[in-house]
Amino acid sequence: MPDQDRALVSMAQQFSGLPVKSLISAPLLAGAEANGKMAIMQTQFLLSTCFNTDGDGDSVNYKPIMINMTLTRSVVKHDGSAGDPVQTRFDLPLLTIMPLNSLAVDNVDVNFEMEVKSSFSNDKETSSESEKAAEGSFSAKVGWGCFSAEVSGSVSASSKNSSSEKSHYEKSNSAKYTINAHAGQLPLPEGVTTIIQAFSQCIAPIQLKEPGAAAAA
Amino acid sequence: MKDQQQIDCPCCGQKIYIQPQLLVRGSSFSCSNPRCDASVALSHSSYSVTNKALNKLEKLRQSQL
Repeated sequence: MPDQDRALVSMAQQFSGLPVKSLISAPLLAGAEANGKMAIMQTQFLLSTCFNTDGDGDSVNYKPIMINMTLTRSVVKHDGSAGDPVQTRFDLPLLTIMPLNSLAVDNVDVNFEMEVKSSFSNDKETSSESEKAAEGSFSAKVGWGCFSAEVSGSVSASSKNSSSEKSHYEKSNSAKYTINAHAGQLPLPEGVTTIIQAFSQCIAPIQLKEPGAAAAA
Repeated sequence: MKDQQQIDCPCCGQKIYIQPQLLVRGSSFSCSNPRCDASVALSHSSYSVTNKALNKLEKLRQSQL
């Protein structure tokens, strides 16, 4: 192909065959899939570790595993002096103290960088050098009586041509595809938070009323 | 693991912030209400079940990361 006809690389053509959809969606789908697996694993952990089960099949009853806590309170006597601390034991669902923040992929960065370089240069250098030299010499001698003739001649010629041409063509492709996925802790779902709050509120002591108070009211 | 959990104080209803890993080592945690001097600790009878659950959760996290 003659150098003059060598066109630059078409940028649009270079990018047209790229699977951009796959490049972007594949990491996001992988992140979503990982999140789903993590959620399932945490749910299984929650049910197997923090609950006891009763029943079989569809009628499984999950009963929270309780742990025993000791509540210590100071006592001030009527005369203002410190009394012995009072200890109260109460039960608390194990679920309420487990750091069950949802672990999930919370950030996926997809960076795609593609560089197509195309350059063409044509250096043409033509030099023509012509050198001609001519040299002539002539002498003639003529005599008569006794014929005498002398002819002398000399001719010299020189010619020199030179030509040079440089052509340079460069084409390069480079592509960089970077995926950064970060897993962090998300806030618990509202439903789980409500369940935990309900459990934790159950540790408040129940105040019994006098037997006749309800009837009088 | 430095997760902080919270439970309601049985005395005043304010929050008691607890760290489960320290709880199984015998630490006690006081109520956030400065007027309430209540503190809670894990009873010895529950050390085993709590520790086992925390270790299991930590393994789960390691496997997920």
